[in-house]
Amino acid sequence: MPAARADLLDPSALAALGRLELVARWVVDGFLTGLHRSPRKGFSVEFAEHRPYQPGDDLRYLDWRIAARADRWVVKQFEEETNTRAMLVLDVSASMRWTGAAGRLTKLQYAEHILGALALLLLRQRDAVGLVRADNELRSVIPPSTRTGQWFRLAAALANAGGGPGSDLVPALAQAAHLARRPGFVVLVSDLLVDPAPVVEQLRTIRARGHEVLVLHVLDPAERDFPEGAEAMFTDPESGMAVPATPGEIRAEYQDTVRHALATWRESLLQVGARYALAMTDEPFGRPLRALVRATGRGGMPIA
Amino acid sequence: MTFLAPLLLSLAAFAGVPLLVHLLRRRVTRRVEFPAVRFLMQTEREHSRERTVRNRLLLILRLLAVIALVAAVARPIAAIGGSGHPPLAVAIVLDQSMSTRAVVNGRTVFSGLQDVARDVAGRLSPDDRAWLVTSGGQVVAGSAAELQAAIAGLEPSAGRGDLGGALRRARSLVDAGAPRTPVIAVVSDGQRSAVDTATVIEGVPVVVFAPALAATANRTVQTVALEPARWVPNGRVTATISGADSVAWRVLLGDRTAARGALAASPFEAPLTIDVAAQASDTGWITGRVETDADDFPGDNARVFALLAGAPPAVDVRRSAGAFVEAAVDALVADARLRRAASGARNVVAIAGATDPVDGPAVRLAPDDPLQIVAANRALERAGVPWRFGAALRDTVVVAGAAGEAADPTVAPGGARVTLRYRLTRVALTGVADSGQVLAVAGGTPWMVAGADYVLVASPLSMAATNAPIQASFVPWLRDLVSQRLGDGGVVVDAAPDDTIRLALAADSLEAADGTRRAIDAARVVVPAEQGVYLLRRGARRVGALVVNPELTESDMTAWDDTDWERLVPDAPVVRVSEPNRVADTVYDRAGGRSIAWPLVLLALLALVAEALVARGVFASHASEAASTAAAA
Repeated sequence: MPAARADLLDPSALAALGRLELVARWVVDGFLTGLHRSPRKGFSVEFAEHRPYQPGDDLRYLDWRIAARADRWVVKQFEEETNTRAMLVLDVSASMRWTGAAGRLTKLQYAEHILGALALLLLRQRDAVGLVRADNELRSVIPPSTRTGQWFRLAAALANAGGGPGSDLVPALAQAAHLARRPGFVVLVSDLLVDPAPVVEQLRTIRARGHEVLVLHVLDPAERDFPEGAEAMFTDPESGMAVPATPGEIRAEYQDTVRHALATWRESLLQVGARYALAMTDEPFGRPLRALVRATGRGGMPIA
Repeated sequence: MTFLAPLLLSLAAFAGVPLLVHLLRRRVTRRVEFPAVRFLMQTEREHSRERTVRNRLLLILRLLAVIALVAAVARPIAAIGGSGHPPLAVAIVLDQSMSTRAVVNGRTVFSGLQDVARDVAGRLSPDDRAWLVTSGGQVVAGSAAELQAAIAGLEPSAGRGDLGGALRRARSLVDAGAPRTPVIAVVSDGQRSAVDTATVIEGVPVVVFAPALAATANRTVQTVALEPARWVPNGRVTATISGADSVAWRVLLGDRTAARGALAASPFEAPLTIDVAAQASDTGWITGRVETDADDFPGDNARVFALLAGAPPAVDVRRSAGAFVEAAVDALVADARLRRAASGARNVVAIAGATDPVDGPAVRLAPDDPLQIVAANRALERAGVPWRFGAALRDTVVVAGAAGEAADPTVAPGGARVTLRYRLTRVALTGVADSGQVLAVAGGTPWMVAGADYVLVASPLSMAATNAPIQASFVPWLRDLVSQRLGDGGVVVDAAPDDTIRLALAADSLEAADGTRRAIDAARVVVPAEQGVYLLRRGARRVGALVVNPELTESDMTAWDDTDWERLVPDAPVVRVSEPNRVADTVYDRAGGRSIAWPLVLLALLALVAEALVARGVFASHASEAASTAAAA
């Protein structure tokens, strides 16, 4: 792996360097380097309170500073953090298999790398991570686990094919919430080219069950910008619907529509207490990964 | 709206290109996979009306640009605002008749007319078509500078000219300038006699500059007559003269004053007559003039004349010519029109049968007996005549002119019936350049032909062959043959300057007073523009005189009135302008429209700019910004 931080590299160039597992490790390593904290220390315990020293206490936990300053012998009490359960939900519908430019990752490839890195990061913190992949039906369901080998199961599942003719995220989300059992995290990664209402309603239900919800909205830049080109019949790979259009003529209006749709998603999700982040497939993995980590609170950083 | 180049309107077919593109766009064949079609559909749903309006606006703007450009290329004229002055087809009819030589305030009327014509020509634009048409028959087409140069080079003529003809020519010229608005600008001294009453100009606006005729105390020598035509050596000169006041007159023969005197004032309509007995001091052609003192209208202060002093033409009638010819010549000799002489002497014309050997000029008649044809042809060959008698034709036919029209009585005894004639055939003779000309035909074959020194008749002049000898025109015809066509009979031809006439005698050149000669075609002679006597020559011989004097009508200073102009131009307005500096304005105000080519080009450019802005969605973005601002508020 080059000396540069992998989480800040061009995603397509990075993905071309190796398999998902390898790339995910590079991304995680680069990401943790950027945090300026050792990933080996202090992740699993948090300082809770002081109490008077009692004989027999481990001298390692004696607070020497207070002893030196106030001549009081107190020990630091730590509250070991409870392992959390994170369920990753990945949209693998046909629309996710699309890229707007040759050499650029498809939305699905981009999402797989992001989720791979996130899963690796969480597993390193001994959090239980599960995965649900779905298009118009459930393609992969991996219950959350911290066991050794979970990462490879997840990576293998991510590498599976998908690409059904539709997107039905509601059952996938329900399945994820069911597998999480106790309150944890549900991370949805999708291009959200679906009707918002059922999805938002399902997320509201998940939130009501105590889960934190984060939605990573993956878009290709071409879907946002609708670049110039000749007039054509634009066809939806999932529904087959076709619309004739000349990009040059409706580009501005289209961009307005996309901006409005994204704003609608953001507002709807915030209203149900979910967090929302937008990722473009031409930006480095680091930014959306950071958003996810901040949302899970698993990077020693406050939740956004 | 009309177009100066209407054929270019066919380029409007290009206007169909945007329309075609617009329609073809409805048939999209290229398919592109695009997952966010739902956003496209939503965009279409939300903006379809706006986009439809924009597309139609684009189509309209593109069509407008193409149509405006095509229309501009076709050089449109419309009766609305525009640039420059209206495109005109203007004919400037300039009167250069003799009457324009009148001097007013020390300047000729013609100079003033030139100034006005130059002013009109100077306002021409490149879109105009213009012609200068003069009463002298000159037509010049061209630009403002070319017309001005042509106008500056003109001089008033010595005659009446043909202003009516100039107007008719101008009428047809301005029609050729369509679709420009036709205008005829008449720049004349307004003399009523300038245009004949038969001239009618229809359907064209006419602007007339005709200043009030100068009230000059004009003195005019109206007519001059000589008696007899040939002086031996005495004769009389009779002239009529008018003048607003007393008139001093002179009669000159050559450089010698033959008589002088004075007359009381007399109106133009009732001139006084002088009758002067005079004697020629020499023989041959003598030029003379009757003149008055000069006035402000110098063109009619003198009339020239020509007389031939000396013995009558000599003729030698042979027996073979027949009894009718003999009798006719006797009558002419008795009247001193001819004299008899032996052929072979100088200037003696013989009249003889074709078999008679004759030296010198001769009238040769066909033989009565067809058996003599061979001998006759042999005699013709010896005399160098390039015609031969052929078969005898005994049908009854009528003598007509060479071109089939009625025969000129001075050329042939027109209307005469012929019952015997010989077919005349032209032959080529070595060393003889003169192939002769056909003067009359009968039954479709030449009946009378002539060369420089012969006249050949295809019938004998006897009652067995033709009734020509008993025609009233027979004796004058015979006299003219001897005295004018072949002899030195001294024919005098009167003509007006610049006229085109046909001479009844054979002449090949015209000799001016200074001795210069120019070749002429007797069938069509353009009379010199200057007043004077011009001698008609056939080779080395002087066979007549062309006397050129201005028409008497040029001395009639009666001006045109409104009725005259209304008759001349019955169905179009005639604008009479009396101020010289208003003529050009009036002419250029006649047009029905102005060029709108540049406004159309500007319109096309504006349409293209608007199209570019609409295509880029400038207006839409402004609208959406405004909507966003409103929403934010």
